Amino acid sequence: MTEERLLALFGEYRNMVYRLALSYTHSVQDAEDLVQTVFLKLLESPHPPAEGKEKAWLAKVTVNAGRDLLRSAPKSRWEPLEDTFPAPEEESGLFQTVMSLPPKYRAAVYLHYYEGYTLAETARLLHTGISAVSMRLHRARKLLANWQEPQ
Amino acid sequence: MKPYREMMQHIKLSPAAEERIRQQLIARCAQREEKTEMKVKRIRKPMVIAAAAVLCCALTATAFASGTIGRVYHYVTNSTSYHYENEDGTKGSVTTLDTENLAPPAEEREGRLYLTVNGQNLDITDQCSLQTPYLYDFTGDDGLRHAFIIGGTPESFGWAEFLWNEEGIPEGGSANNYLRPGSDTEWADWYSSGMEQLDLPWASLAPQN
Repeated sequence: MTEERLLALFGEYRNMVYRLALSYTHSVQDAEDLVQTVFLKLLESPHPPAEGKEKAWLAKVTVNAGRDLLRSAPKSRWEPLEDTFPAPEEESGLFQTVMSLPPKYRAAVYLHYYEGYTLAETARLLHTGISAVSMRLHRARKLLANWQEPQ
Repeated sequence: MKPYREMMQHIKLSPAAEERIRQQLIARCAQREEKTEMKVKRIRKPMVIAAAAVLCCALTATAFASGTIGRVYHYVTNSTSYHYENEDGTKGSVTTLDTENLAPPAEEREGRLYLTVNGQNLDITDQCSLQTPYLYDFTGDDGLRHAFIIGGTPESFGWAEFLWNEEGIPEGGSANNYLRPGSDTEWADWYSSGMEQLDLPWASLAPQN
């Protein structure tokens, strides 16, 4: 992996990795650290992804790293959301609602509804079955349905 | 889910974080390039001592491919020794170096030399030189004694690993960058000295310096 290619991929996918990392972390610092970890793994990988497969590779590695982080991070490291995330200017509570979803729901919602992966692709990235992903999306939609868009 | 998508579009790495990570990646790329250059320099003259082992054991080595493989020894530094027996009863051994995945027992960091094998992280810079070896040995997970000779400078160090069987008989070794600077045949002083200190039978095989 050349420096040029690495930095190009960082430029293209850094925000995708960051948003997915947020599914698994509860602090900006941890999400940023996860982004760095993922791209360092890309640099060090003995089997870098083929051209055209980089996005899926990065998503999978982010999911794996996020799950490792969840297993190792004590809840006491979690910071109050309102103190850490710079909320969008027109934040209307949706962000808070999304961040209150369990990590595996957040990841499924992000990959399927934002990145546009199919159910099967999302399941593969999350190391689970299609029915599990469907269930997570269904439950997430129910929880998000409680959020009301301001009039 | 439209509000969700619109909201997520605003979620981005901060410019400061982006720049910090970018600089980290650039620094790591530069480190890798330096390590690759040093690795190429270090593996220029890898040595396999299987022939010495065969000589010392007064056995005749014939074509490795025609023998039946017996004992196989794995070195910590990613060499492998295959002991074999030929159809005519003669025995020998061959050691191969995995030069793509060499695992040196030491590494250079910021101008200092560190012993890194077996979970160590010891600064040995001042304990070895072109003349003086640093010796380290331990019993591996395989129950066998592994001994290391490290010598040279942080900029250009060499090493060797030797292995003894359960009966305390030296079975062989492999070495890397062990020759005297500027020579294609002469052993470095640290290497000869290390072999003698470990009382290895191949110390006497040193080419006449």
